[in-house]
Amino acid sequence: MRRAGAVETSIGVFILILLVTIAGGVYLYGAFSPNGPYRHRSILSSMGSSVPSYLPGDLAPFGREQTFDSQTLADQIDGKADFYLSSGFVKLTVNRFARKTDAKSWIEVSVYDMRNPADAFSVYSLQKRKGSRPLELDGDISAYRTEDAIFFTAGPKYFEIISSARGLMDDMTILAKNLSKEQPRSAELKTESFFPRESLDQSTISLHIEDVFSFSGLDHVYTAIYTDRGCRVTAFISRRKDPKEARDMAAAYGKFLLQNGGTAAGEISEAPGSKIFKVFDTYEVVMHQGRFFAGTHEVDKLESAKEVALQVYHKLSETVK
Amino acid sequence: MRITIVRRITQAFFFALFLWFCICATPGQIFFRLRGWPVNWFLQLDPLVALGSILTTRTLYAGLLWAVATVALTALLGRFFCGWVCPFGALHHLVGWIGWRARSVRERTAVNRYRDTQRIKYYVLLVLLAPALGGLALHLADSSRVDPLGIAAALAILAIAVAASKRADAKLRRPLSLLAGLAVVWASAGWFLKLDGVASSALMTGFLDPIPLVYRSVNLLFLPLADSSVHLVFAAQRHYETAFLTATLFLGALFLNLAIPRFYCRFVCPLGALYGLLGRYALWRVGKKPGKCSQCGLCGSRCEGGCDPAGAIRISECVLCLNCLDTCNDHLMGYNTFRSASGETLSPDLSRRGFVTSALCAVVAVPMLRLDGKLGRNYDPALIRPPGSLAEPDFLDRCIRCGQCARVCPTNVIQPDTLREGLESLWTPALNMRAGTSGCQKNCTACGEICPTAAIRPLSLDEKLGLGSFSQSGPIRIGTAFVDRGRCLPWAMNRPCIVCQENCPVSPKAIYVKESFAEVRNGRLEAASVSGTTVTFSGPALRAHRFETGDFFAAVQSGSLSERRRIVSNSGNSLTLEAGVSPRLVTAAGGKFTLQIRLQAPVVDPDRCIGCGVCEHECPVSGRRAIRVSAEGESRSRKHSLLLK
Amino acid sequence: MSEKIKDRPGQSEMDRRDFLIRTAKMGVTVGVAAALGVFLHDPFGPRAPKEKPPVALPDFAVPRAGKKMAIATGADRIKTVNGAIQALGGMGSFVTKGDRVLIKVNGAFASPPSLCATTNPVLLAEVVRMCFLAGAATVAVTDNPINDPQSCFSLTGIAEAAKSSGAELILPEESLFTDMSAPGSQLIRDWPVFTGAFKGATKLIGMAPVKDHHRSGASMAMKNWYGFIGGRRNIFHQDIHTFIKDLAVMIKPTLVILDGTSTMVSNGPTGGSVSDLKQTNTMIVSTDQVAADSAGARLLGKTPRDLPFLVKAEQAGVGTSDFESLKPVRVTTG
Repeated sequence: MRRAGAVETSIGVFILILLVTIAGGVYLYGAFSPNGPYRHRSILSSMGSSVPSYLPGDLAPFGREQTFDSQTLADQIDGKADFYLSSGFVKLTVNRFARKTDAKSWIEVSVYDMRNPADAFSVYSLQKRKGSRPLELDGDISAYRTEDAIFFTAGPKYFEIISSARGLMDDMTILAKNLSKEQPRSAELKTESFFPRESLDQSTISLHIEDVFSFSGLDHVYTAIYTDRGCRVTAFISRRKDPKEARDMAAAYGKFLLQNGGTAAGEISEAPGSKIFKVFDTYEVVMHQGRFFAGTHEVDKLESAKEVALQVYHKLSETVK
Repeated sequence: MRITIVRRITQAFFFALFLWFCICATPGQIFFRLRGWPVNWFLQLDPLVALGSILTTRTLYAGLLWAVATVALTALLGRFFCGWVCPFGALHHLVGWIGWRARSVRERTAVNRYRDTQRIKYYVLLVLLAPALGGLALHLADSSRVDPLGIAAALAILAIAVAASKRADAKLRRPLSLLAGLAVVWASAGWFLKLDGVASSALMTGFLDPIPLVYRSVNLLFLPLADSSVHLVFAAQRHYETAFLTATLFLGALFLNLAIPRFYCRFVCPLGALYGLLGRYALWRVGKKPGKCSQCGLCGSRCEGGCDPAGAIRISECVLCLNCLDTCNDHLMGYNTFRSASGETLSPDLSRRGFVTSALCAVVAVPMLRLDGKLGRNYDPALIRPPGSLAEPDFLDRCIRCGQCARVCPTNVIQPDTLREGLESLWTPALNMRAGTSGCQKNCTACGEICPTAAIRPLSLDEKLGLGSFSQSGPIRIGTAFVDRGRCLPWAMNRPCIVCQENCPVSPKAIYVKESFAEVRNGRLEAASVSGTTVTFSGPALRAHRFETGDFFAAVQSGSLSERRRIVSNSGNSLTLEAGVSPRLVTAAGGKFTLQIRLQAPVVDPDRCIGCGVCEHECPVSGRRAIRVSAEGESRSRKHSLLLK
Repeated sequence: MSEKIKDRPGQSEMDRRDFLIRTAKMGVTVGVAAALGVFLHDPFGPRAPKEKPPVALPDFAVPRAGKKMAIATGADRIKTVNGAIQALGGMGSFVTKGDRVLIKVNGAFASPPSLCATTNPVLLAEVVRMCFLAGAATVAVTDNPINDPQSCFSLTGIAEAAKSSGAELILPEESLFTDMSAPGSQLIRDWPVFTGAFKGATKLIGMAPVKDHHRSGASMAMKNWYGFIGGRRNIFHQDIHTFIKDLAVMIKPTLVILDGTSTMVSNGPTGGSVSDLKQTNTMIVSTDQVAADSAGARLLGKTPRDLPFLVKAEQAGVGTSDFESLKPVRVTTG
């Protein structure tokens, strides 16, 4: 057998190092680049499906997938069908997964296809369960959990994952993560992300579709609750079609307040175009910035109403730029 | 550490990497799903893919730029790819080694000698590439299509040809100038004969290019077999058409190693031929150092390339296996910057006759193949291409038949096509709604994302669904569904169904229903008595419970008055109705009832249908479906439009 | 076959020259590959095919001729067509010396001239003669018929008429069609149009018989432009009135000659029997195709209101359906 010389050995070592580099490069690229070489996220999902491409633990599909449309929705959820139907419901898909070893431990995944992401967020936010705790899923997906269930929304879909027994929470969390990862994302910035984070209770962000604050002209408003020096402050943001519509909406809502017992109470000097109203014992701040109509609603203390409104205004100014 | 050991490790490494890319090409986010793995990497390293698509499209798509690195390394080192990287080569190497390891040195030396027939692979390369070249020439000739990029590309290629022919030995100069001459003849033919109806380019390399070949063979043949019991890679058993042809070629190539090691690499491989040409001027080459050679010939005994290292070594055949370094008793073989002490032979040595014949055949082949008119009026409406596919001629200019789209398709609906449109459609992707687990999924764009050559262009979900900035152009349609009223249960046989309508994923649905009430066979009855909601009949007995399904009605009619009541249950001679009929009307009608069935017959709204084929897949008429997608209306061809828009 | 490079004894003193030459060649290979790669690199791949911007076909109208019309009565086509064109100032006011005239006939069907489903060959020969007489350099006759072109042109007598009168016949070869969109057109978008026929032409005359047409109500001068369209054009039957309007917007002729000597009143547009014909002894010549067709409609017992394509074309500003407003010159020939 031939013995290799020093040069040959060092070339060999060099090549092996090269291989390790290639392997490392492929690994880093494949495992950590957000989309790899693929341009659109949809390839990463199994077709935006209601079943994740990978099931955790020893779970297996259990029974057939059921789908419900607007005609048959009431068969599945009797009480709340009308709420969904009036919020842009398109389709409900229900799948059950059970443990291979124990068919009594099952998880039920209900996926509500809504008309658009805003509708999905609305049904998610307006029926938050008691005793919910926030849940971290993929990226900035809004999610929360209770003792035995997980709720989240991604794109135009709203997900409910409930279980038959305790002790399935770990599997449910993995399931929710896998599912949420596989949903197509829209590149558009979400309105609800424009609420300043400081002193905000994330779980209180809600979307109101119409007749917001009993003003019939106002629709699609996100609200969030802040605590400012012990005072509860409801802040709101609504994205309008263009700056003009935002301005008009601010004027119209101000008029509405004046007609309903409100009086003008000055303005915030740092926020041009803003107006403060005193409505009976509470304060309202109404303002507009770019495409956004925003403000604070029914605040007990004037100072808190102004403070939170200003924070919202600054956050919006950053994004408008 | 001997370099041959390193080579084996490298081969194993790249083969494992290739297998990994095959395994993880299923859409998904977890570690062994697609996520961000560059599964096309071997295809992108393949300079034959790059060269072919440059010739047909005059562009180099995205990741195909990697081929430049392969070309550069080959020019520097020789055919390293064949002996060190190629996953197909590694398989041949292994099978050849298994088959020949027990043979005597004499036998091995004999089988590994250089054979004149090894030049066949250069003809193979020529035959596969010339149709693409024809397209380039035609493009140049057609002044209406001239663009600066195209001219530049053509000039560059011509320049290479001229430069090569100037520098090359006399033997090669002739064929090269002949090639240039052919291009000119072809161009002028295109100019004068108005051939564009028939003559155009085609990318044929994918048939035998080893990288697409090994991709499609492993992904569409062995992976589904290996995975069938564990289901780690695929959620359900996958099925792929043309399995027989794929297997014959792949296994045939492997078994031939038992006759001659690396048979495919030596005699067939067009990529190897291209590397042979590119590596002619390699700075380092295998050869003998000057010294006392005992002429034992052992250096050829385990030669993978059949490149005759004992004599005047043929650099273009050498795959850099470096076995000769190990087998040389005199320690004379090496990988040096100087030429072998026993001389070198520059191959390929193509005969002029062979060159001309094969080039001519190849150039004529595409027009001949296309005389069938399948790209024009005679197109096959059953050929449904994946969403985002280019118009057919452009598609055939790019598709390398690697099967990645069929591999990645989550529903297995993309199939490697058979010979339905002649040779050119073999292994190209076509949707088969019956073979898959569903139709084309509305929210999936995986095939276009993964296609390494953009024969299926990458669509955003917005573009596929016609949302956002694409709302003007509407969704991508791959065809239109047609109801076969002669086979459809409600239309032809008075049986309720509308599975297709239910499953239509388009919103609002592209399938709507026409409601009607049809008289059932022998459905004219005469009432003996009517009491409340129960009607009793005389005459032949009904099949009990048959009319209880909720779809059946009893109707009574007299003049312009009529009533229809749903049947709740029935016995042999009586019907119980949902609500009673008015006795007066029954009397007026002389007690005559008809049994009717409520039918909803599906109708396709061609304005909404996107051709996804979910209806066809779900149709309960399991053989030849009663609703089928046909290529009319597909977005990729205005000529196939069905509606005015 | 192969060329042996001479053995080089004493390689320890390496042949530097050989190495340098190889280095240069390798460098060229790498350089060309890299240059090609970078130069031709296309990171995005093909986009959705974009519709080409609309291209207007040439306007063949003679501006000084204005909008006018003549209606000649008589059974002899040669006399009526001469009479009508004389009444409009003679062929010389439309065709001048050196003009290259394109005549669009209706040669849609392979049927004999006696059935009047196609442009009458005697009339065609006479019009060609008049064009040459007015100084035309060349006259070309063309159509993209429904039936096989060769048999259409020969059976209708059009080929013979063209040949005998010295006109050239342009057959609808595939290469003469280009995909285009027409400005102001709703339906002619990215569609093959017989543009090759217009190459070099300076004047355009449309010659059509008056025929019953089941789908559109009537086939006359405007419907005749259908023959400038290629591809699977019959999909346009789904919205034929809009399509005929689009044709009339796209094609701006010098003159239309509408032959109502023998009108096909039933079983149009193919006819097939002389019993489908009615002797109406009318020859309509006009620079306004809408007016000509409106006058022709009368021969079929219809008014412009019965034919939506006329209304649409009028709304699009192609011409007037109130042809009397053009004060047509009426001529009677023996």
